[in-house]
Amino acid sequence: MLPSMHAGYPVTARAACNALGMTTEAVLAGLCAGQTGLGPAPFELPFATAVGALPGPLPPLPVSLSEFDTRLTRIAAWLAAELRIPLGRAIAAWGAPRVAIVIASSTAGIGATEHAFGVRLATGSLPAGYSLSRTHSFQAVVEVLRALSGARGPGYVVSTACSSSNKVFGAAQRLLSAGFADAVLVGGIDTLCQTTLRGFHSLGILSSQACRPFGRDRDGVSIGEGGALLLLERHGEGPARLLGVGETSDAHHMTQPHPEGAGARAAMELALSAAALSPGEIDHVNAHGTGTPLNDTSEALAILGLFGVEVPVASTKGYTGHMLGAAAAVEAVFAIDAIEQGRLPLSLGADPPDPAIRVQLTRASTAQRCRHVLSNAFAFGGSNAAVVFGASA
Amino acid sequence: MSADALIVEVLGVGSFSPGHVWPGAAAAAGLVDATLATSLLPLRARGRASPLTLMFAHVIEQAVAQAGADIHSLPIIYGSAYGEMTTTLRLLEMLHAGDGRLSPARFQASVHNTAAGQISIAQGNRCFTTSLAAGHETVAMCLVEAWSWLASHGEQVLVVCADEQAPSVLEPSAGYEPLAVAFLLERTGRGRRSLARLSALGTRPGLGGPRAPSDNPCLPGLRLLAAMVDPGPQDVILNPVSDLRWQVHVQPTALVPGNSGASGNSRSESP
Repeated sequence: MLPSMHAGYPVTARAACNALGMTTEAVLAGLCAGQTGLGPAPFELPFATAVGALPGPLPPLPVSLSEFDTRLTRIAAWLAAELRIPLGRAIAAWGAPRVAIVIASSTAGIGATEHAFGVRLATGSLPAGYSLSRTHSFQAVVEVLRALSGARGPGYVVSTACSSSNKVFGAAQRLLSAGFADAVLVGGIDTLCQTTLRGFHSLGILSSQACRPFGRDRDGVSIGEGGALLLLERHGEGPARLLGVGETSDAHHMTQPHPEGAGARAAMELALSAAALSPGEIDHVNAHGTGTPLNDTSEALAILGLFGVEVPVASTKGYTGHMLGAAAAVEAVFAIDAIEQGRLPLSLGADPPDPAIRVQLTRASTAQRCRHVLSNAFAFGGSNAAVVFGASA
Repeated sequence: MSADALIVEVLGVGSFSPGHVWPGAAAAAGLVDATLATSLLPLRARGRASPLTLMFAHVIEQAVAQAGADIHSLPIIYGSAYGEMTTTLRLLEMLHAGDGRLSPARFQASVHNTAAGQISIAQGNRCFTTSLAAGHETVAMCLVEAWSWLASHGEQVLVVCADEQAPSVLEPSAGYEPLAVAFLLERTGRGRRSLARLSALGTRPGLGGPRAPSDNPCLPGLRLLAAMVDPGPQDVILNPVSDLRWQVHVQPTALVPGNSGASGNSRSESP
């Protein structure tokens, strides 16, 4: 029996950065304008691809946190700075031990470890300042966010590849419901790195150009970097509310989705049930929509089976690339924007759309009142997570 | 239900702890669990699996067998501070060798939830699973997640924590041995025989427990397991030195590990 979250928990603040921009405002403006942020990779690769790189510099961490300084933790600090005021308010209101941190990441400090490994091969020693627990470790990002925010509640990383930063919403809902916290800072952060790009290329699912989710000619993903942080609280004012989360496993294949999207559909059904909503009450689906032939086909089947052709569907990975563990958190910001602004983004890249994809893809940025938005995230290992957001009452 | 009020029964456990010294009464009992063996994965998958995945499978199988549970319908919480480190190091070697091509098989097996995926596929488990990392608080945070799950979702959950041998190439001073522990937990009140009863999971004022550079991040799990063999109740500290002390109260119950009467428990007493 799933807990019912009819009233939901308010999202009282959010911040995002990715290829569209370094601030939430710039990111949402780029989404509204229908502009892709994909471009050439900022480092050498032995194959052609387009990536979603952050367009601006990231300042180093404060000196007191220098041993944690990596690209990933710099993104975390950058986002936390945008949320400084609401985070401070939440800690003052609830108390530091009552504010938890649950962050998603699949890359963690691997970028720094790639470099350190190379230095060690060349010189016999690791670079000065490199540390397994502070540079490479998943938990480093939580430690940095604790230090910067003052939060002292439960803190951990969820790492289930591309479903991670939808699953953090499930974790937050459970922490709030069980009374372990009164506020939870959730989010997802991932960086471009050689391992990820070469890894996806080795699997044959990296597109040589900007990805085309749901497009007739789609041939793979584009990788992106960036992140988002969102603040959930037991009560408060915000642009939207977290209404329901559904989490399942495909039990099918490590890298390929169930061909009919069975696990994906089950996750969406669980999210709807937790939100006490029927499919007809969903106004928009932010699809996982990676641009691989298999994901987009199976996901479209799952969406079609549950929602029919009525609900407008968009993939936003044509704007940002696939940010892996950070993707769903950023797309949560997009979902909330759709609710707040009454505006759906163009499903960028579906031009022409795959005629076998029969869901209603958004063919332009569209004004539409949205009370409820569902956002999908599916991952290696067959991990599926769907989240439903709703308008504040 | 609030987590404060939650009382949890431990129906089954698993452990793999070569080179680790069991504390307390467990040491006196001479419990030995240094042999890795599992049938949870098919033979071919077992041959390709990483040390981490094999450890997870091994202790899951032990705990599920001892509890007489159905793995197909069991939610599972995986915890590992560093995840698929052996596979990651192999990828880094490939990255820095020759043309830097990566093995697709190794890449897809490098994600933190590799074991969760492989075991769910092998066992047809379509339930909730999650894969967490929290450094030396990994065991504590897995229990927090488990309590949260039990409080709101269901009756049983399996918690499994493991970390491979310390990657000396990235941390020369670490030097810890591999370690894996598993706990099959159930909300109290169903009248089933249990190893121990856990309660009062939370933070207390005061410092966390001891920690040495040579400690496997999952060592608090071994302490928790050992406390279930000790004759008396105790509070087990779940995280090392920190100003946030996570702990849980352990009350051993009648069932002794290795003497459950259930089949399949491979933990044995030393001669």
